[in-house]
Amino acid sequence: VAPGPRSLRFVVGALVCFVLPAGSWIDGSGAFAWTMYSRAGEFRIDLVAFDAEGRARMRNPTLLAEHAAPIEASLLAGSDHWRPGPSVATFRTHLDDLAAYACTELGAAAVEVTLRERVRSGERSTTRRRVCGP
Amino acid sequence: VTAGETVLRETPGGEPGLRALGVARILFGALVLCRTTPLLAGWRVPYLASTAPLYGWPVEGWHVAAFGLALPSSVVVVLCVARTVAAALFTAGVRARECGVAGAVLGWVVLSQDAAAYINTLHLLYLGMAVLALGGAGSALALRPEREIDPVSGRALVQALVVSVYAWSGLAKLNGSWLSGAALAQFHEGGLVGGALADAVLASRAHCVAVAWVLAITEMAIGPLLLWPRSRKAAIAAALAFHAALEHAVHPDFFGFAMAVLLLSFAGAPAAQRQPLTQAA
Repeated sequence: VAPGPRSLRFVVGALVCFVLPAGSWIDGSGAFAWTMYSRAGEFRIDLVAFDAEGRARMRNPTLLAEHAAPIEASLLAGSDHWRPGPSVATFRTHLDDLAAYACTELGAAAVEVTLRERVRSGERSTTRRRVCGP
Repeated sequence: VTAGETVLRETPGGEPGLRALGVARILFGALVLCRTTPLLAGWRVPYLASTAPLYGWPVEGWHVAAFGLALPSSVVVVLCVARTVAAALFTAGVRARECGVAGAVLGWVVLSQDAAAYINTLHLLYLGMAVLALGGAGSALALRPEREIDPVSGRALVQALVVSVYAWSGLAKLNGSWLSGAALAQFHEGGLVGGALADAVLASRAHCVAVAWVLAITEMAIGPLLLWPRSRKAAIAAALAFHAALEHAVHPDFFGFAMAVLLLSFAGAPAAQRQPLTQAA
């Protein structure tokens, strides 16, 4: 027997009003939990490039903004120092991709990208190191 | 029918709740089209700058797709066009149920192609379109009205979305950063929140703390007050005033407009009036 509209709507309502927001709340992103403008925060990006001999050199992440899409560029520009930003969960999730992109932009043998986030409860740091391909 | 039984009596001229959903569908569809096409590009509003040729059109430069599912640019172009056609048909009321859901799904897929571009406003626009479509909003004021056999549950679905948005948003503000006034102070200092009203009510840290608590309590309270029939009108007025103030101070994209339209689901009479046979005859 096909479910009636009431059953279908109940399921849809439960999904969009509870399951989806609660799920994103639990995973820490809050992306679907209507958390906009709910907390203050700051972030910065530390970017280190390594040459073939393994020598490290600090680079300014603003360099990566030049060939990034507009929204990504607006986040990367000036991120060598603390910038206000309520959430950079997307960058945190895709830090590996950012490291790979940094490889192509900097022409390094390896790169290390650290995303530092500062909220009222403390500081959170996420680092990814990537050996760049030929 | 025997004495004492009740009958469902249709309101002459159509069910008011469905008409309200029909109005909501037209206005909400128009919002989606205005936000995802260059219709308002001439207004030079910053968040409408990326709507040409269509929102989500493939962009040059490094970006990442959500879940690693990057689609070819040509496919994204087709999805953008299909989303726009579906939204237009939903607005006009032609196969509104299918087109509303399809438009929302296509919108989410396009949105996923640039994960950093995700914003709550677009999520609400797509979610609202899907919920209105599934809630029977295509059954009134439509070029091809759909048959609706259960308007009560349809309207309840849209109302549930509205209530949940306020509830989750209020819950999210129950944190030290917000309740201490630090978040509001930072937004104000950074220019994210501004205007004469904001300057007046956020003039000191004590003011920030007070406003933060008032906003959190307001968001937590609006949902229950909307659901209680006796407080509904006052809650709708309070919600509209809340969004008007936010629009003035924060310019939060189309979010306030979308919520204002969804509040129409609380307008109109109950879906059907159960009356004693003697009165219905």
